[in-house]
Amino acid sequence: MKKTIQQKVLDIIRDLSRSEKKLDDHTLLSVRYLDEGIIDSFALVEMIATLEQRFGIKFSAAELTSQNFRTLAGVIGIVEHNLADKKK
Amino acid sequence: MTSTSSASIDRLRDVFLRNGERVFLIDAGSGTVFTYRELEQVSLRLASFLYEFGLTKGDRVACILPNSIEGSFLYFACMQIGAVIVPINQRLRAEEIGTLLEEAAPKVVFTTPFLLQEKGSMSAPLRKARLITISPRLTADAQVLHHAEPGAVDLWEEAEKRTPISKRSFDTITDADTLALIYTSGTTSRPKGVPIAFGKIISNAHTFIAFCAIPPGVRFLGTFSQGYLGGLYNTLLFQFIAQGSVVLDAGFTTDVALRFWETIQTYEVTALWLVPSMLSIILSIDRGTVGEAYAPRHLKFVLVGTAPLAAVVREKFEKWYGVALYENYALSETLFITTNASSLPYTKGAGRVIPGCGITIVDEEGRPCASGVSGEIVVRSDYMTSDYFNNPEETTRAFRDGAFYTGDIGYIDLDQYLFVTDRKKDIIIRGGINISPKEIEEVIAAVEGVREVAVVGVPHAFTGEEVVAVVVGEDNDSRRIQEACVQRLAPFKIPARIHFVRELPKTATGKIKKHAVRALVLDTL
Repeated sequence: MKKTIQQKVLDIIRDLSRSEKKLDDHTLLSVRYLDEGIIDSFALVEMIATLEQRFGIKFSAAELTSQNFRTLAGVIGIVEHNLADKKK
Repeated sequence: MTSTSSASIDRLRDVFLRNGERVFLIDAGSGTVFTYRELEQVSLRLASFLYEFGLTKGDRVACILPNSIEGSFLYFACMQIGAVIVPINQRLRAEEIGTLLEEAAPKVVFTTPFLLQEKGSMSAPLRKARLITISPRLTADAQVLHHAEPGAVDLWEEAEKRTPISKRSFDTITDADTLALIYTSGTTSRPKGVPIAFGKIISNAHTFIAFCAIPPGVRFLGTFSQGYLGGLYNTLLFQFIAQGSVVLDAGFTTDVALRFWETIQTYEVTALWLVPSMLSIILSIDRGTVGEAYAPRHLKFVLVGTAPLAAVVREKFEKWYGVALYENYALSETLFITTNASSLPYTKGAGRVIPGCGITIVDEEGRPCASGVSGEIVVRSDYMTSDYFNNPEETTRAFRDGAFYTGDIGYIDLDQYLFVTDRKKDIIIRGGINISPKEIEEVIAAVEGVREVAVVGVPHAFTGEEVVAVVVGEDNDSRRIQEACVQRLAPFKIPARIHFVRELPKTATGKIKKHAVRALVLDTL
């Protein structure tokens, strides 16, 4: 079965995380992953690079510093928005 | 000014006297500002609070705290009464913190309720100390604010209730008294405690500041964790001696990285202390124009230390932001040894020795090497410590004939500049933090099905080095190894990759050849 954008993003985070917390979909989507230490600043860079490479997009400065970028639900929204822009 | 026999205390007193109404601390989270006078008054009141726990000069106070204004004031309160500050990184796992507490045997431990709950199993060593949980309000660490605990001790209220202790308590402290006990990962799994005396650290800061011609009033952004020497020295004490100010941010978290230049612009920061991996991260995620517009006009000093800086990163950062980077060389045992500075004819390598320090490069037999020839870096300095705390074995190994054998490999060029090129000691530096491979090896070796293991550091674009475990196993089950590491090791120590091999490269005497293991990993990349 083809993975959704949400599943792909969450899998990338699970790969990069070194947290001892159980990272099910619900946890990942509900917490402010940047503030809760789900990934560290090194993994953040890898996350951004991996998302950009995997989806063929480029985040803007405004997107990276937006409140939406602080939750993974928000990140997924930003990725979807970028992908929709690409199709236009 | 009261005269004492202690030059370092006279200097501290003098800074308070000269800078009363000048700004010293700014909380990056709320923008709250504190002057030198407020720092002095609050820390003297908190010193009174500390006295109530029976703390006196020489007693150790462990601080397992996030970066916060309250934690900073607590450090100064300890200094006011000569209590020894033992900073402990809050990101360590319970077992690791427990080991440090056993080693340091503090009389009092400060932590947050959230950390206490998270690190439940560190409670055994805690029973021997008086535990005080505080809930910092002035912190840029979002995680702490989200888990604020109203029941914990409020240091502001405690300070408010008390009268300041007499400033004369300073008179009892001498240059030889210990200001801090810093734990550093070494070549053994047992962490080494480095006692740092008032006289050494304050004169080291003063000399470094003069050598770099850093004038009073410079404003630094503080992003080093206060659980390490960098968070106490480079982020607080250094700026105090420099008569400057600090914008105290959380450690270099994801949040700090994303709003890096905005924070600098908002608080009109004019100087930075960075580690090489921070430079790589900033370069990688900066998509805006704030940094390139602000930095060339306002940043006066960008100091870089803790790990060698790759030339390509240096060039890219300097070109992008139009600022000069000044790399230095320092260790917990020696404090600052060398630095680059605008007063020097060139900027290269880790710079030249500052006054009061001397470096010799020696070969395997301990003979001095000629210019340009690599060997172990051996330091003799006015600022170095003379032993490890309660650790005669490591003391004898590293401190010989009045010199400190760093375990770092480097050379001095014809212009007397130091270049650090390699390490003799078995250690990994990830993101500026020293990691003992042996500690990780012990965790993995205890996992069922693991016959042998070697942990090495391999080059990584952002972290400087990444941790990789090479395992000889019976069933090649990386999941069990990963789980053991997650349970027992701090996140930054967990191997990024686990390789399984049939055997490890060894010497004729059966010793694992780490260089060959590293080459083996690099071959598979």
